[in-house]
Amino acid sequence: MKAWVIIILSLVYLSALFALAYFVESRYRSGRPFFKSRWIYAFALPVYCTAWTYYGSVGKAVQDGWEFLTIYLGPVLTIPLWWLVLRKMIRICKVQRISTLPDFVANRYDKSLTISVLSSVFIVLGIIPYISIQLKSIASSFQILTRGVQHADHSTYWIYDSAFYLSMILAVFIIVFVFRSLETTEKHRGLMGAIAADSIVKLFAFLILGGYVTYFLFDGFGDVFSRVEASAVGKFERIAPGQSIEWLVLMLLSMAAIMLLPRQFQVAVAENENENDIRTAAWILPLYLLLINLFVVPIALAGSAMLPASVDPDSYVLALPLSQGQTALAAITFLGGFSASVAMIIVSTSALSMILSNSLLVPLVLKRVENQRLYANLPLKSRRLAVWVILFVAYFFYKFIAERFPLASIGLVSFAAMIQFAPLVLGALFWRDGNRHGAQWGLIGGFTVWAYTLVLPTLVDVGLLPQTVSAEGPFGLSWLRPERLFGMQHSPIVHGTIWSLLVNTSLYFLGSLLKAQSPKERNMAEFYYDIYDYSAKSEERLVWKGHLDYDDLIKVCENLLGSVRTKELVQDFSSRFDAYRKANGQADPKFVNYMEQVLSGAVGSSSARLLISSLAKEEEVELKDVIQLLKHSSETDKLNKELKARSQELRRRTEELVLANDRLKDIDEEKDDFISTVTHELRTPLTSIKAFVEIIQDNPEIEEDERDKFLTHINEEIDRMTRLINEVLDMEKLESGSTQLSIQPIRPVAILEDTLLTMEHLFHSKGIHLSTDFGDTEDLRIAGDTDRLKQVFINVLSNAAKYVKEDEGRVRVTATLLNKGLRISIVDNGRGIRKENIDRIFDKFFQARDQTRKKQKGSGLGLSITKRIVELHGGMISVESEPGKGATFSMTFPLERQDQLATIEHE
Amino acid sequence: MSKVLIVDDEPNILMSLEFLMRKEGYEVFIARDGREALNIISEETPTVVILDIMMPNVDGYEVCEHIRATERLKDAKVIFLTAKSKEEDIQKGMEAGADLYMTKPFSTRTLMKKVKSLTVVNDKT
Repeated sequence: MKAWVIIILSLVYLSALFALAYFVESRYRSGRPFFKSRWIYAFALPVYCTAWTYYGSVGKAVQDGWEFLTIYLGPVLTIPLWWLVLRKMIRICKVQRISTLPDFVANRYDKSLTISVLSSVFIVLGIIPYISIQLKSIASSFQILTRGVQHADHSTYWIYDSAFYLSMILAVFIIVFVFRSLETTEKHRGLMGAIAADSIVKLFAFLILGGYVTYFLFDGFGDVFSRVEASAVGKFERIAPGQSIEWLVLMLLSMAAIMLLPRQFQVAVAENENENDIRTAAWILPLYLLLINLFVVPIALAGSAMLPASVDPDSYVLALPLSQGQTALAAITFLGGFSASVAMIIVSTSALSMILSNSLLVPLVLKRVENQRLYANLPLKSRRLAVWVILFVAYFFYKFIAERFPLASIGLVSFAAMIQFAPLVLGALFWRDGNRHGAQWGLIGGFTVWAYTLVLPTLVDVGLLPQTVSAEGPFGLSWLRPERLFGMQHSPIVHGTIWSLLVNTSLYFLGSLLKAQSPKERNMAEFYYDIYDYSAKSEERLVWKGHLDYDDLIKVCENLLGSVRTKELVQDFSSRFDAYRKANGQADPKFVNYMEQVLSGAVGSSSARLLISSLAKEEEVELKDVIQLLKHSSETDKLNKELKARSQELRRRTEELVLANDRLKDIDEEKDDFISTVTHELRTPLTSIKAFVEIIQDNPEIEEDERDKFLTHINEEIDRMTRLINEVLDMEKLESGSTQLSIQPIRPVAILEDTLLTMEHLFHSKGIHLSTDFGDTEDLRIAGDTDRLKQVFINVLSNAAKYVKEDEGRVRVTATLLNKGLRISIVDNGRGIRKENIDRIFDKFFQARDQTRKKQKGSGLGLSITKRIVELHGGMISVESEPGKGATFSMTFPLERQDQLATIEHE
Repeated sequence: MSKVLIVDDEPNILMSLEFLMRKEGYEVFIARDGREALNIISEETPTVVILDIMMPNVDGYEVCEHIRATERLKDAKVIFLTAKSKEEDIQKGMEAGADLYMTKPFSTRTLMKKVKSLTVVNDKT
């Protein structure tokens, strides 16, 4: 195939991609987005599948059988955790305006500049080779197409190297579509659209090739397996039993990679527009990975069967159609691989330059330069610079080092670099006590071991270090051999991953447990941990203490963000909070937090921190400030629970007090009523007495018998007063409990009979007919007071006698044995009680209002006293009545067990 | 001859007051509660009404208000004679239109003087 055809094809493809990016971006800007964000998001995630997948999977399958699948099984296994992990990362980044992994980590661990710089250096070192192999794959696929598989030659002078020009073009794309605006939290819809399109192109290209191989060169999957030599097929018949650790580690690596690789973090976290988009991606991604791997094994088998052994398995994908003379198909296949590489390079380079700029370049410049004018456009310039730097470094790495490695191995070394961030990230999300010391120790330890076990042997391989280091260990210490630490024998990648991760995690925990968190870090730890609770008003949830001149802050913001944007931000802030500027010209702490977050979006959190702290006189944040602010830290949780318990206790007591007070008030009112009623009841007889006495004094001439009549009335009234006074005293005693009943085993029915006997005269004189029915209750005993019980019976019986009509009255007295009690009922056929009065009949001084008969004998306390006495016996008294037909008073007394009665008897 | 209506639910008070009033030469009517009192004043026009307040059926306030609302009885003098001695009770009694408010226990001598003065004023007018 002619080179110019391929070059034109590539350029057309890139132009189409640029056009698409431009279209998506402008449609979004005009408010009519062409694609739903969830589809773009879901199809951007397979940026995970690079040229390494496209060409390398087949190569890996030829070498190691099914093992290539681990790289795709890992990500699928993480999907159930996305809602838990990924969503939390997205939320934190959104709220804190974070767009890179080093920022995400450094921000959590005390905004540590050390962590920020370290992690950015590690990431750049870990990922640049990965970009290089993408360049390499483009260059070699280009050569295979133009010169044929056998004659591919990589030692082209750079001026003729397609990879070089491609790097230039991609740098321009990134600068135009990614680093146009300053705030990195702004989403890059054009970029995302282009990436999603790339994903679709590479998938279709691979499916077309796979379909061609499987269904044209062969007759379907079964045919592939049956016609290929046994030696090649053997690899796919079973998975070697010793491979489980290999599988496990590779899956672990890819699990971390799907979220932590800079391009994945960029696409999955930083570019996410809506957390719900995760749901769509959660089924698109596995489906995508299934489809793109569908034909890997048939192509691998077909390649090893039909191509000469000298052909690199990594190039089977292109070599197969070429060997069949299918140039058009080969061109399509090339485009698929090209798109995979391009997508990876674009996203990785954007992410890396952001990392390099935010975490390294800008902080370094800010630290050294005092002149504020230099700030203007600094972040943007440094990012653009970083793009060029990264692409050049990647190109030269490809040109001089990467030539010698297979695709897959470099990819895995990058994976192993990124998994070093897994402990820190998981700790940030789910462990409040992880701290900067642990994070630093873990990061340094992990990367040291990573470099020693995985990078060092590479340097030996390319001849930069003597062979002996790798074979015999440094200084002849064989237990320190980089690929055989302590004699462990595994494939280099497994070996390196296990050791680095082990060291990393141990140091992370060790540092976190041995060293203490600063209050400010604690604040952020709680913030990360409980992000869903804090996201609403993050400015209020973070403590900032110090003095920062408002005008200084604004000046810096205007320099960095421009005055228009700064004005917008101040407006946005003041629409949510009242004050951004205190009376003394200082900025409000909430406003400082807000601006720091905004600046984080522009220059990264470490630089933002640097800026703020250089401007302000900051004060040490104390733990109490943090605790005051946080509702959810474990300390305050405890405190809160205690407080809650206490306040509940307090509330309970208050309620009790209110009730008690109400009761007291009631009692007080009752007492008032009682006293005023008693005095009223006393005034009445007194009035009569005084009137009669005055009459007798003033009228000495009145007749003897008239005088006697008056004196008799005086006497009656005095009796009435005496009775009233006695009953009041009696009532008082019963209520205050100052009189004790003299409890004896007694026979109530016998007492009742006795009472009836003494009252016989009264009944007889009023012509009342009395009947009784006591059954066999006469011997039943209760614990009680004979005199008091007699008082009760007299009260109720005389009440009955009072209200029946003379000569027509009937009173019936019965006693019955209940389940556990004795009931005594007194039924009369008197006037009865009105319904509305039934409930009040036992109240003190309640005398039925409708009494027409003049001058009831009685104080109005009789029934109250009766009720009280019955209750003191553990019994109940109730009344039923129908007006005009009489009333029934029923008393129930509990029957004690005989042994209890016996003890009473003995006392 | 002036007519006096005595309303009280205490028979002994009725009895003593009736004795004293008759001795002074008044024409005496007695009622044992408010309802009886209303019956009586529907036919008679007493010069003085001596009223208890707390009575069954119809209380003293109501009787007093009825008297004040009746044109024919506009010259009747009302004396409350009651055990209710609180300031607010007195206030309420005066508002109901009483001419005099006396609390039990009272001296019959004072009461008779008051009744006499009220009837004299009445006779003059």
